[in-house]
Amino acid sequence: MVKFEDIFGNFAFIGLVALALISVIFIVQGNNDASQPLSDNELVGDTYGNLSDTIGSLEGTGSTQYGLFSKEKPTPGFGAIVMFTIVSVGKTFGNVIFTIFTFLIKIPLIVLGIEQTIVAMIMSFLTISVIIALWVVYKFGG
Amino acid sequence: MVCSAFTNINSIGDLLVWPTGCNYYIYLIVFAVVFVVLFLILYNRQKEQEVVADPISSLGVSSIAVIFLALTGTLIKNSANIPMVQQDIFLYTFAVGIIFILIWFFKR
Repeated sequence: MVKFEDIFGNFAFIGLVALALISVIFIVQGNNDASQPLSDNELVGDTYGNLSDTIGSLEGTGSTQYGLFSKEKPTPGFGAIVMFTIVSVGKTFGNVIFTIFTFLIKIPLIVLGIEQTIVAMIMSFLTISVIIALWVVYKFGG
Repeated sequence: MVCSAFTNINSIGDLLVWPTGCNYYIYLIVFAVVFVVLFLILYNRQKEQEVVADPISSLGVSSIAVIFLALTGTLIKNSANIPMVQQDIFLYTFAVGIIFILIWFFKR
């Protein structure tokens, strides 16, 4: 079974790789005075901006969630310690995974005209994986 | 397929952009061939080194290489300021590359 932190780590890393690739393309084309720079393309520009915002906000999101987690007083439960902030952490970072995927798939979806059904299928598979991984985190603490 | 006359070729840039006049997608085909060749080279080299070779990682690495090759192509232009790799050709290459990189990371 895939762990939640593995799924999140992969998506954060691929988001970073895509951001770095687009950034290198923009910088190289800008510095070398390309006649048709990719930065003129609205689709790529939007993807770059959105990815940059999402990945850039990860530090703040992580810090906020850590703050909430550290403030919570653990409640003794039936054979376990209950901490409800883990649900908030899971929801927040689960949403980040879907956000990164949505931005990344946008370019191939529009440029290559991939069928929406294929994306829907991948999305449903991803949703199930994330839900199961989150459930394991909630239930067993990781 | 009608090619423009092989005249007014004054620089390497002119020479590299000239095939685009014959077939707009010529460099997309070239990149596809380079991609397949690169993938096969990487995959076969990996097979020699490891017990189980990973074709998906070879595809991912080849994609990044072809994206950089295409990027270099966008910087080469002829005397009429037409780039060797047009923006939409580069966008196709980039989109396909992103798919293979996504699959590569999904698999990890």
